Amino acid sequence: MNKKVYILHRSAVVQNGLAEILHHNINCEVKLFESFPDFEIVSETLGDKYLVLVEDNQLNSSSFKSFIRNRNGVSVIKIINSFTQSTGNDTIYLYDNAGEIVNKVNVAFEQMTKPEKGEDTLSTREIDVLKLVALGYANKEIADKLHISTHTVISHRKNITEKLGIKSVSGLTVYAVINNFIDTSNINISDLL
Amino acid sequence: MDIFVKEHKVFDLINNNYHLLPVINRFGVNLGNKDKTLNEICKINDINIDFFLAIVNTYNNKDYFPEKELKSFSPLMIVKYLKKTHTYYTNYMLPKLEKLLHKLIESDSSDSNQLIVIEQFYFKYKSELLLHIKEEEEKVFPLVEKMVNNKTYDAGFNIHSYEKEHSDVDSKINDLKNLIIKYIEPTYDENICYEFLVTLFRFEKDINDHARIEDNILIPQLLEIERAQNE
Ligand SMILES: [Fe+2]
Ligand SMILES: [Fe+2]
Repeated sequence: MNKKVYILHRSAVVQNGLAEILHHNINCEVKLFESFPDFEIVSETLGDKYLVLVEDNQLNSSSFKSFIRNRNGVSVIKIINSFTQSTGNDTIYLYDNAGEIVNKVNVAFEQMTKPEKGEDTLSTREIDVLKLVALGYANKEIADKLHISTHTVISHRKNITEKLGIKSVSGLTVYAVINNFIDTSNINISDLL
Repeated sequence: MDIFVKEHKVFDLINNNYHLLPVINRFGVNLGNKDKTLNEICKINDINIDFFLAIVNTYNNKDYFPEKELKSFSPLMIVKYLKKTHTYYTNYMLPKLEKLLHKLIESDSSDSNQLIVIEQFYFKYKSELLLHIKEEEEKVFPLVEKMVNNKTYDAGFNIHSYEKEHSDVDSKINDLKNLIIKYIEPTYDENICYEFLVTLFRFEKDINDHARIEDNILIPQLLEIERAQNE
């Protein structure tokens, strides 16, 4: 999928700063808009699956809300201009560092590409995570081994559980074993459970 | 029929929900009672009718919460009932599941180890369940007895951590079902597999209801006693 990010913010500095950060870290197409009306005019040409980073005062306008309502392929992250401690994944703060911003955008894209519930094919990355979960590694260790953030590991694990319908670590281990994701010739399986 | 009342008959109960068969059995209620009402049956068997109804209704209806009845029977009664249920699991349900699982493995015509891994997972689940039951019998239930008899309350056990443990135990049963239904190669005898699954479903339902009685009846009663003692 060609990733698309549209930024709606009054400040040219913010627009271009975010675009710069995204270009450097994520392979995606970025377009900049000053306000929702500018965006809405061309919205028909923008595809139907994209991520919008939008300044919070525009996000709360009724025109934006009704625009977004029936567009299932569109995900939103709001941008908050004030100096606040970063918390949720669906919010970018101007004082977030680049890593945090990239992470939030990546998580949003992951959620967007997530298959419908019940589809049980795992992505390659999810299988990597699953293998390490099955071998008993903790989230932090998995993150280090795969060079991703702990947060991303948790998000992968959530998707794995959702796709497979298996919650417990031992249950996931059984799944990994019966699908030959891990080599069990030299280990006693019941020790893994 | 959403709520059973004392005018109902054993047949109404079982006809409406046959999962209640082992439940009434734990009260010592047998079949063959002709058209006697639940009230009459309870009198004959020296059972507190409110307690009986609270239990069967909690089993029968997820949303049922016997608030009014809660105060009318002793937690000791519940403990006695819960212990009987534990015995039913350890002496009947688990051995039955194991026998079927063993038969299932024997029926497997392939040389894969999938079902062996499933069996190991089952044993893992079983050991956790047995540990949970042991904790209840050795820590929780004696604590209940102490609290009811108004002796010193020792806080070695945290009532609030109790519910979380239940969700851990039942997510494994759910995983077991998922693995067998969705992911295991069906190289086994199907009828044995279906029988195993049906038994597993019945067990899951029973144990979920059992946990709900612990969470929704026993725990609130304990909290109430604790509150009263702190006053
Ligand atoms: Fe129990
Ligand atoms: Fe329990």
